[in-house]
Amino acid sequence: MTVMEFFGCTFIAFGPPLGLFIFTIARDPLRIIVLIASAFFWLLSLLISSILWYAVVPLRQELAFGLVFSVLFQETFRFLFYKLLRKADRGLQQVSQTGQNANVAPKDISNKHIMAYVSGLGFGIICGAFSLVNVLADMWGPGTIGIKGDSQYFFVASAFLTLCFVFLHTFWGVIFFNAWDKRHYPLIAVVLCSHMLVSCLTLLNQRTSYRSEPLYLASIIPAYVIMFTMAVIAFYTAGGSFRNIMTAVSCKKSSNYIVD
Amino acid sequence: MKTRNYHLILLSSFCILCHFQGKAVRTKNKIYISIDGRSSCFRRLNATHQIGCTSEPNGNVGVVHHISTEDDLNWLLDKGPHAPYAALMHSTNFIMDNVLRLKNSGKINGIMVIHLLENKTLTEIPPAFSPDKSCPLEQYGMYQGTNYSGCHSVKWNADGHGMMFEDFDFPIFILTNQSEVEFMIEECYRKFNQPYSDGNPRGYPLCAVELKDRMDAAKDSETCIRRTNHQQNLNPDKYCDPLGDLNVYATIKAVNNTSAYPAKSVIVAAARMDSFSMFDNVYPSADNHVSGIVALLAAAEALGKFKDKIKGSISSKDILFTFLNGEAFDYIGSSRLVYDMQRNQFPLPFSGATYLHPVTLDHISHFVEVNQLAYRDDNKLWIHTDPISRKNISVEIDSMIETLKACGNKSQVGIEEVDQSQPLPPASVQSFLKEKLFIPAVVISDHRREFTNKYYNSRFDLVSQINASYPENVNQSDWYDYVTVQAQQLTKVSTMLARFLYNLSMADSPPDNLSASKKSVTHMLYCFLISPQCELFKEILTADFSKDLSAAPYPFYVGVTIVNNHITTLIEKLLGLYVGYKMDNYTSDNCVQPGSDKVYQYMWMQGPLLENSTSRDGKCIRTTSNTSLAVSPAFTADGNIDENNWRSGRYSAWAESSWAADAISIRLFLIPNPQLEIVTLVIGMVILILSFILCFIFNKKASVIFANNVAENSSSTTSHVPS
Repeated sequence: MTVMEFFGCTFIAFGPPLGLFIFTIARDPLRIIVLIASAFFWLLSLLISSILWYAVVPLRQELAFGLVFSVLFQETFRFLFYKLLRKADRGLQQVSQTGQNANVAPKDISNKHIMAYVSGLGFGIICGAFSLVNVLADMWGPGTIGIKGDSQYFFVASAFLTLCFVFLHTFWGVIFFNAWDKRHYPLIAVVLCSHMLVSCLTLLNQRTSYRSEPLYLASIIPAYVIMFTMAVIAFYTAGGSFRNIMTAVSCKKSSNYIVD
Repeated sequence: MKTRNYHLILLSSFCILCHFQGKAVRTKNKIYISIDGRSSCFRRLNATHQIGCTSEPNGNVGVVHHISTEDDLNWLLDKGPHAPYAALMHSTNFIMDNVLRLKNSGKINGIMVIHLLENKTLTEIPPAFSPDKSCPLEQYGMYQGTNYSGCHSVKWNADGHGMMFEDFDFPIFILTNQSEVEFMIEECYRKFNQPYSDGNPRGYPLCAVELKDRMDAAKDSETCIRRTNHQQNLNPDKYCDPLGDLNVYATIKAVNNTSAYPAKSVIVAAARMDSFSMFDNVYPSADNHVSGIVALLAAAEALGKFKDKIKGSISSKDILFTFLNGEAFDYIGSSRLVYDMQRNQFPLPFSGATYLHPVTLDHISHFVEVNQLAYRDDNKLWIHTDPISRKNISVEIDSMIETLKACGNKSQVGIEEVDQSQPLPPASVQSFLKEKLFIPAVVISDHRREFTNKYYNSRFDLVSQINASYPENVNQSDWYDYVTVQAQQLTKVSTMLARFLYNLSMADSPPDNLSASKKSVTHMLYCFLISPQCELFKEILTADFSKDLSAAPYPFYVGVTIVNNHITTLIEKLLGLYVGYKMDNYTSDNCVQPGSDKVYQYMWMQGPLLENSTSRDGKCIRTTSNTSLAVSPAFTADGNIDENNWRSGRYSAWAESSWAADAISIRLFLIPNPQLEIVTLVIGMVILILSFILCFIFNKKASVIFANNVAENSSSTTSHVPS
C-alpha cells in the first residue's frame, strides 16, 4: 500500500495551508466568506482557461500555450476580485459590525492587508487542491508511479510544488492588492512576471524526446527562491520588518490588536 | 509522454468535471497497466468441498517473479526476500508438484501461467498435463464399494494430478496475449525484479501485480445455496448456481405414447458432450469429447438415410441417440436421464397420444457408448465392457462384440476387446448400470488401458494434438473442406458405428451403401474445433442466429443451469437435420408443430447457399431431436436443493460460484521503496506540525510583527468611521 506516501504528500502540500486556515481564517466568518469568494474567482479563471484550451484544437497538445493564457486569466481575475472587494468595503463593514462598537471600523476592513492575505490564500488553496487532488486520488492503491519509466519522485515533487504555489498565491495576493491601492505599477509587473516565470518553470517537469528524466530540482529550487523573495516583499508590504521580528522573538508583551 | 505538468492537471481536472472527451491523461494510467489477455481459475463447490481459486476482495498483490527454470523456483522459495510473490510460470513448470511447493511455502500470492499456443518458445506443450484426478468420477461411478473400486486394476488418467480439485486461496490465471506477456517479462520482471547474476535480490522499486479473482461462494454448494435463499433485501445476490444444462436426444422410430413399445426394444447410442479445464472459457476438448460427438453425429446421419427401413420393420429395435451433458462433473446428464427414466419422465414428464412414448430402463436392449476416439492405442479402437454384468449376460455382450468387430472389419477399423476382467473406464453407461446391472453395454474408446489422451480435461486437449489441424501449405479459406487424417479415420469409425447400430436394430447385416460421409465429418470437426462461423452451422440455424455465431470455438464446459450452451443447441440441430424429415411446402413462418403434436419438433433451417447467389434454400425439418434436462436430481429446477436426493448422496452436487462483473482483473505497477515512503511521511508530518506551530506563533505576535502597518493605519482608522 502506498498509504504512507499518500499521507506524506497530503501533509506536505496541505499542512501549512491548513495551519493558516485554522489559526487565521476559521474563527472569522467574514474571512471565510472572502476566502471562498476568491477561490470562486480562481475557478472562474480556470473555466475560461479550459474553454480556451478546449477551443483552440490545434494547440491542445502544446502545454505552453494553455499555460501562458491560464496565468493571464488568473491575474485578470485577481484584479477583478480586488475591484470587487474594494467596492464591497462598505457592505462588508456593515455586515461585520455588531451593535456595540458601531463607530469603530473593524480591523479586517481598516487593515487592507488582511483581506488581501485572505483572498491570496483563497486563490492558493483552490489552486493547490485542483493541482494535487487528482494525483492524490490516484495514489490511493497498491502501486506507485514508474512502470512506464516515470520518476519515482513524481508524487513528492508534485506535493512540494503545490505547496510552493499555495504560498506564492498568498504572497502575490498581498503584494498585488497593495500595489493597486498605492498605484505602484512595478510591483504589479513583478507579480505578473514571477507568476509567469514559475509556471513556465514547471514545463521542465515534462519528459520529452531529448530528456528522459524530468528536471524536478530545476523547477522546484527556482520556484522556492522566487517564493521566498515574494515572501520578503509581502512581509515588508504588510508592515513587517526585521526589527519587528526581533521584538516578537524577545517576547515583549503584545497587544492582540491586529489579527485576532 | 508528459510526466507532470502543473497546468495540464489543472486543465484536465476541469475537463473531467465537465465530461469533455479531452485527451487528458490521468495519473492512474501512468501507475497501472491493465492486463486483458487473461482467463482465470474460478471456484466450484460440491456437497463437501470448495475447489478452485479466489483472491482477497481487493485482489492479491505480489512481486512478479518469472519462473522458467527449476533454479528460478528455488530462488523464490529459498531466497526471495520480498514475499509475497506472484509467480509467472511456463506451462512446463506449472505442474502439481511445483504449485504445491509454492502454495505450502506461504510466499506466494498468486500464479500466472503463460498460455500462448502460437508461440512455441513461450508455451511449450508439456508431455502430459491433466488437472483431473487420476481416477476420474470414481465416487459416482458403479464400482464404488466393489472389488474394482479405486482404479485398482487401471489408473485411467495416469497423468492426472487433481489440480482442478485442489482448493487455492490465491488466484491462478493464464495469460493469453503475447505482447502483454512480453511486456511483463521484459519491462516488469527483467527491468525491476530479476535477481542479480550472483543471486542477490534487486532493491526497490519492484514490479508487482495485483491479481483480482474474487469469488462469492464459499464452503460447499449447500451453504452457498442457503445463503442465496436467505436474503432479505430487495436486490438479492446470488452466491452460486448449480452446474447443468440440457441433454440432446433423438429417436429413429418416433413411437408415440399409444403405440406398442415392448421392453428391450431400444438401443441407446450415447456420447458425452462436455469436458473442463481449470480456466474460464478455455475448453478445447478435441479428443475429449469432440471426437466422440462427431463420430456419433456422423453415424446418426448415415443411419438417418435408412430410417424408413428401420421404421418400416415391426421387429426392428428403436435407436435412441443421446448426447449427455455435465458428465465431467459426476455424471450430471446421465444420472438425470436415468432418474427420469425410472420415473417414466423421459423424454417428457407428460403422457398422451401426442407425446413420444416414455423410455424406461426396461426398454433398453443395448447400450453403445462412444468415448474419446482420437488417439488410438496401437492404431486401434478398444471395446470396454463391465466385468460384473458380464458374468450374467455374457451371451448378449459377446454377440454385441462379435457384431461390432465384424462391422469394424468391414469398415477397415481396427477394433479389439480389452481384457475382460478390466472394469469400465469413466463412462456415462455407469450411471445406467449402477441402477440396472443387466443391460448389455459396450464402451468404444481409443485406449486399451490408461487414457492415451495425455491432456484429459485440460487446456491442451487441442486440435493440433489429434491430427486434425491443417498443413501449413493449405490456405485458411480451404480448411473447411480439407480432409485431415483424423477426419478420414473418424469417418471409418462412424461408418462402423452406423453399421453396428443398424445390425443391432434390424438383426440383419446392413446394406453395403450404409456409410458415413467424410464431408460431414470434416465439416463438423472444423466447425466444432476451429470456427463456428462455418457453412454447416449457418445452414442449420435460422438467419438471425447464424449472424451471431462466434469466431472462436464454443466452450465444451457444461456451465451453470441458468445459461444455455451453444454447443447443446448446435448438436440438437445437427441431430435434427440428420435423423429428421424435410417437410415440403413449409416456410419459415409455418414451420411449427401442427396442433398438439408433441412427438416431433419442427426446426427451420436457412439451408445451404444457392449456387451463384447469396440467398439460401431454407427448409423445415420435422424431427424427434429434442433436449431433456441435464440438471442433477440433487437440485430442483429453480436451483434449490432437493432434500431427498441431496441426502442420498448419489447425485452430483456441483455448483459454480458467481462473481461480480468487476471481480476479475490483473494490473501491473511498481511498489515503492518503503524507505522513500517513510521519508515522505516523516517530512509530511514535520511540515504539518511545524507549520501549525509557526502559524500559531505568527498569529499571536501578528501585531508586533506587522507593527509598521499598525502605525500607518491607525491614523486612517478614524477616517473610516461611517458618517
